[in-house]
Amino acid sequence: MPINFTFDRTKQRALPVWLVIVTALLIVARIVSTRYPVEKDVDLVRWTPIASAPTIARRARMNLMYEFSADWCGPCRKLEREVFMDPKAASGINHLFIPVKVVDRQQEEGHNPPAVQQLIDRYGVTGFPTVVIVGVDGTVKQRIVGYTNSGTFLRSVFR
Amino acid sequence: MSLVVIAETLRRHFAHLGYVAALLVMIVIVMSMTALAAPAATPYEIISLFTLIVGCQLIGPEFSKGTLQLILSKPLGRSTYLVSRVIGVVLAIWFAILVMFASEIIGRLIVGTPITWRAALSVALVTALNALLVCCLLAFFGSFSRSYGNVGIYLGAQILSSMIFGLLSVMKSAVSGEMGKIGALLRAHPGFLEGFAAVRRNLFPENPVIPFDRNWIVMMLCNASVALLLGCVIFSRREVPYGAD
Repeated sequence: MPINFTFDRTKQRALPVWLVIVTALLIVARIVSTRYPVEKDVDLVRWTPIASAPTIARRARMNLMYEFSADWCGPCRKLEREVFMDPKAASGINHLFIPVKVVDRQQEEGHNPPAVQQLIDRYGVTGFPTVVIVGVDGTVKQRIVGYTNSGTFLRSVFR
Repeated sequence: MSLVVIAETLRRHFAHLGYVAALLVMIVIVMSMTALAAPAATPYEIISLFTLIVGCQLIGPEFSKGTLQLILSKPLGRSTYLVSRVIGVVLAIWFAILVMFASEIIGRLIVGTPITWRAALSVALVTALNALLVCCLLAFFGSFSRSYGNVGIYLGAQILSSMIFGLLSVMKSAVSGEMGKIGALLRAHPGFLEGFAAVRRNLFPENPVIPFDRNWIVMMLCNASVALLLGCVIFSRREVPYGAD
């Protein structure tokens, strides 16, 4: 019987079925997962919403502390971990200021919500993290750009 | 999947002097960084470069050197070959990440600095998934280009998209002159910039804000899978002429 050295080449260009199934399943998983966002680790600072913060600060006669950050910013994460998740530092911030978190979404969404953009423009924020402490009269009392370590940061905030 | 192709790809890497030298350099870098108490993510940044160097050889050079014709004369599916090559290359990179992870842990034990397991494992996972996505994208770009064109397309797209996005973001706030017209158009159609940002986010994703973010992990796996499938579709229909470039 002659040996057949040829092989079926019609299947050589076929797509792997398992890869098609896995891709389809992952697309479905991705669509489903976007409906259930993962919660961030909760920091201990009691953040106040942007809209109500000035009124609360005026009533309580306390300074506002705006923290400008962005999701892609590495030093911002470090600041969160080392300062805002530290019970002592967070307690000090909660007692002395009305803290407001302002998250820039320019890079992710191409634009910021109007309230966020207004604050960024008003305080001339060009880099992250930037912390601006604003007095009851609206004047800027302190401005800290960047983050190196908790000691330096807390000394600047509480001086 | 072809185990022979995967094993041969791994053998080629492990027997390559450049790969071994790169591993040794990485061990030295990780040990030094650990001694200097650098953040966990810092030494892993070198893996991005390593991934590009290893990943650019996925399929393009096979076209140009003319070895692909010989391989495809064997009873082996084109997609099977491409997928197996990607798996082999990804495993070679993951081995390098594993070596770096082990070096970091050993380094910290020697120096006596505390090990934050959650941070260390999270960084290693992020690096591994980034390497997977980059390899799949390089396989996709390589499926319609030759030689090392895939890495050129990847880097070009990354740089250009970043520049164009920055420019459009600036233009969006412009109110006067020609820029103002474009700005008005962008303000009237915010979906354009959002769509562009979404494409960028999917092709060149930032690292996750939350460690072990399951949505980020699913996104990376999904994008890698889609890129690989598209690569297979193009590669299986591509003409592979005889003779090198």
